[in-house]
Amino acid sequence: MLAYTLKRLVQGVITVWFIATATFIAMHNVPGDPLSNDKAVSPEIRKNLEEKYGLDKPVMEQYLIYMGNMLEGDFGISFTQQNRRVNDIIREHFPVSAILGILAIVFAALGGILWGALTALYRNKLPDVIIMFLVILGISVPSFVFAALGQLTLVNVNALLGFTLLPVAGWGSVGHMIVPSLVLGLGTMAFLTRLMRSSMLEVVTSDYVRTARSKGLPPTRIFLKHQLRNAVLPVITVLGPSIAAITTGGFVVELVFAIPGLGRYFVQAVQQLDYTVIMGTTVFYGAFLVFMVILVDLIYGWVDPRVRLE
Amino acid sequence: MTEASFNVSDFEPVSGAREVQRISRPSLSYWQDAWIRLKANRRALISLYIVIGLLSFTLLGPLLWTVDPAAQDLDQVSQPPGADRGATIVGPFQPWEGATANAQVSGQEGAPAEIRLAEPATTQAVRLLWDPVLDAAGYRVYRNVFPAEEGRALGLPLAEILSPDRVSFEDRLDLEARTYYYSVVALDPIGEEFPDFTSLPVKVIRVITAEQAVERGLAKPGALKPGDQVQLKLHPFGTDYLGRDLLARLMFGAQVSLFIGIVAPMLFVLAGILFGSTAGFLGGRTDQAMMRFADFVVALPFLLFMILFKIAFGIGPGESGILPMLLALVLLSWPATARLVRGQILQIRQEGYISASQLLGAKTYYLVLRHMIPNTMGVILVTLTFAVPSAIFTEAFLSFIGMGVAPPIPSWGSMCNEGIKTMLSHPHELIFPAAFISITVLAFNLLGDGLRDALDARMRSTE
Amino acid sequence: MSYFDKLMAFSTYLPIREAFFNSRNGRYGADAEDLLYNGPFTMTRWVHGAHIRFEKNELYWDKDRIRLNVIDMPYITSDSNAVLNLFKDGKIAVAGLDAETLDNALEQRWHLNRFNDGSVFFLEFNHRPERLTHNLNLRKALQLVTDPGELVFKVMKLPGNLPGESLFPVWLRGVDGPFRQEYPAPQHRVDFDAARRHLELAKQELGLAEMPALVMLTGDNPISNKQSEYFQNVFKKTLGIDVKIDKQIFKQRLAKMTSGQFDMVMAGWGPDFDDPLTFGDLFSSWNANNRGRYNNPELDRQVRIAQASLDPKTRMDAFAEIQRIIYEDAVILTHYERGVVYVRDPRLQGVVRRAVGTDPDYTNASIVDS
Repeated sequence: MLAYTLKRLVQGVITVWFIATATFIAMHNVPGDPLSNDKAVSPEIRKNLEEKYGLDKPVMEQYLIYMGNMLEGDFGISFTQQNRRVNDIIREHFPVSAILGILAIVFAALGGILWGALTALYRNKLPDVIIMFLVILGISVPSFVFAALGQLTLVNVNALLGFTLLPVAGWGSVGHMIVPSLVLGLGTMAFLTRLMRSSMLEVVTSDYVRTARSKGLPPTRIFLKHQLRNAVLPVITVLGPSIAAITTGGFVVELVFAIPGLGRYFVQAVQQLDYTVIMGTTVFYGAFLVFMVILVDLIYGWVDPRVRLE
Repeated sequence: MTEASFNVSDFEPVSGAREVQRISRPSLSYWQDAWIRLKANRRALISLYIVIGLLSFTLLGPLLWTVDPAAQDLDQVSQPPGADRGATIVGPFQPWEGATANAQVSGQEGAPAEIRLAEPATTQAVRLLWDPVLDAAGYRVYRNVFPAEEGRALGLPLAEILSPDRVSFEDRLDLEARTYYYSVVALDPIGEEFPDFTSLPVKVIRVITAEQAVERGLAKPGALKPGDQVQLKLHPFGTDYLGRDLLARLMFGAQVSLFIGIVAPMLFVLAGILFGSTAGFLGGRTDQAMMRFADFVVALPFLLFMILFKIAFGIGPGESGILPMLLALVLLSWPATARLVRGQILQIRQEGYISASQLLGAKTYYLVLRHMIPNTMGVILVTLTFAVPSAIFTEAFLSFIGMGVAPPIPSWGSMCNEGIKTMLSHPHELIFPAAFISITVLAFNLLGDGLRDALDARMRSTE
Repeated sequence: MSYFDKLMAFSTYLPIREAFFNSRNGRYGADAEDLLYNGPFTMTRWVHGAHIRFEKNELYWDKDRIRLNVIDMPYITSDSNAVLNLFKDGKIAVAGLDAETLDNALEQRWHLNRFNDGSVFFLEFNHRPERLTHNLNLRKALQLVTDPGELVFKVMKLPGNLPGESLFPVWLRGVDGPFRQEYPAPQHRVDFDAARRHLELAKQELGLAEMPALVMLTGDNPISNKQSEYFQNVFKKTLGIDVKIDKQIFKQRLAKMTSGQFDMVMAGWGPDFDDPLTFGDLFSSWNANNRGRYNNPELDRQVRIAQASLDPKTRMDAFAEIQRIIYEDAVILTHYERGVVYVRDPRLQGVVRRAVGTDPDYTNASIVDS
């Protein structure tokens, strides 16, 4: 187990290196000029800026310098935000996105497993129909609509109560986190509900469940020990990629709820071709993601003893 | 013991014995059987009809409803379906000089004694005149949709007139056929408002010039004279923020949204199945390497690659990048499916029937195609149905930041993007595109359910 | 230099203390503590993209006049619905409105304020010789189908915007009174037939049977979207010219403007100092912000007169000449003078809005309990 974890971690580092290299190559093939500014710049100033950011050196040298700095944990200085270090940007905004993302995924996973199991048990009966209708609504309405509606509801609830039950926007307290993470997790929850229902239905008709039932085991025990544990496997598998979708898809929610997360910075950075910020956030996200995938795989091996971790 | 003598005829089967073994109905292949069961599933059939309906809406609709989705009808901006369309013909717009008066000579204190209309109020212009105010340095003109109240909720501040002698104002701002309440307040030299104000309710009638009517195809040249009544263009689903026909936009938008929303998921789910099942089946080091590659792809920044593909395809600024979008979606979205399928395959590989099949000499491709993929069909179809809306929304997001479909080409997603801004005042601009996305997703969900039930042999017992 | 005093109030000319700048090790301006203050308020907190807090500067020379202790800006978002919701919830004291949130604000029966921020927005042509828009007849054709009134009243729909008639906005001062009253802008009339004649001439001069599509560079905000889609349709409908909309965020748009990758661009200009020259020299051949590279010796000559002369009348005459050239040569097509509409909590009083200089100005602001 320990050896396996170590091996995965080493592989993870190599994966992150690949991610960094691929992003670096992609970025240097996108035409555009990160040094443009709102008021025009003279050639001398431009030359100074190029020297400052090392853009006058050959690409290969830039790559080596970048990788060297990255090993020391230095992601450089932002091209577009005055004198801000990328490390500061990540340190300031990544925890916000991570908290939001993790809350959302916890909410989505718990909700998805619960509703999914429920709909499978009541297959084609009223609870199933109602929940599946909500699920379809949940996936076919874009998250920006949910964000806007969620905020509107909050305003009206606060106005009705006469005091601020939950803040309408912003970041800082637990109250700020609830509605945005619910909104962010909604789509994934719908997906997991559907996935859980489908895999639950397969488990319900499987031989070992039939055997367990004919042995006369109590239904709750069958449900928890045999059905739930087996049906939850596909859900765990997609949790890793889902974390990616949620943390990078937070852009709209961050915008609507005025949350200082990394998502907004990343989209901005790509549009402005802010090389260092793109590299820094991609590498950081990549590392986070690879780590999450490893975690999910470890959980997977623990839940399903048949999958041996060699 | 008597010697028994046998002849050949003794070994002939007893007649009729073969009948027991005979298959009375034609043999059904796996897929034929699945098709029969799919046809028996009412919900799946309905969804199949919905999908066919959507496709004909997309492909045949524009042939029947031949309105240009880019044409702007600025007389009917953000009109909900079924709004009144009657309009009166008037002469062309003529500039207006306005009126002046000497406030120090003829002015009175406080607020203007009266506000008058210089001519009948139309959607072309509302021209107001008022009596000058003594010691005023200027005036502020407001317009509201409610009668003016105490507490000074006077409505939209239309203009600030920084001259005491100008006592007129021409309002042309977004006039609709309704009653407006205009208020005029005098200003002191530092720009603060006087305490009193004067109000005037004005009923505005909808008008259109004869030239505009001809230009919009409502009448032949010379057929109309001022005072005639015409009906403005019909927009069954209403119009958007630039007066464009929503029905036409929904039809054309469907071409983009359904293409991206159906083709991309099909392709990347297929890629995911192939990759995932190969990795899961082969196992060991190959599996490890393949899954690390999947992790690598998941972490690549989608936006950056989207830009790269756009350039590689030679798509210039202001042109639609549907193909690069498709490519970016397919190349970067398959890992989730691959992981899922691999997980399922790993699990199924341990099942008894796989070992049995292997012992009976089944080949690899037979094992994968016949046993493994059908058994992962449930999860595959779930991912497929969810990939549809997520692809539609990715397109919307990309169009929103200027990387997807170029205006004036519509798509359902970008229509939602626009509609959300006017959600409260003009909900139809959001509801229609969102409803179409929902119907599409619903249809694919039900179809997916039906397919799963039809393809999964174990479901036979539950029906 | 007749406008030297005005120039000194422009923030670019404000001095920076060298010792402090050097002591920040290249991080000057990166965070709240990397700035030095001598104004009425100091920035005490800056969470990038989320929160800015200003507190009263106890060392300010005129500190007794300052009645606000803290200005807190805890929500930074470009989503106009979110801004409106925050105001409704009583969390912010001032909220800007756009055409989409206006109806909702009216229903709330709030008192609405308007203000012209002094900037002018226009369609700028690319005058580089290799571009089609170098052709005067083509530019004239596009000018003759442009109706700023329709844009402002039917498309943008926000009170406060004025239809653009000149590069020089209405608030600029002339010799004695407002510049635009002393020197009215050239009369503009929409004329489709004349436009088509100019287009035919342009095609002949360029030797083209069919006009190829033109690239319109534009920003990514909702107003630019509406504006560019509206003109795309106008040019197509009236002249049959196809327009490709190249939507870019601010920085990329400027980069493309500087390198000349456009035929026309939705641009704008806000005043730096309180003199018509802040607009007047924009299209001189040496101005680095003349990104369409318009080059006209006569205009340059007038700009030099306006820069050098000390006589107000001579200078204003020069600006009037520039105003005429810009219109007649169709250097740009003016669209609108920007207005903003906003709601303010009635308890907050004395905030001054102005086109040039610090805006908004809180030095006289106070909170009055109603």
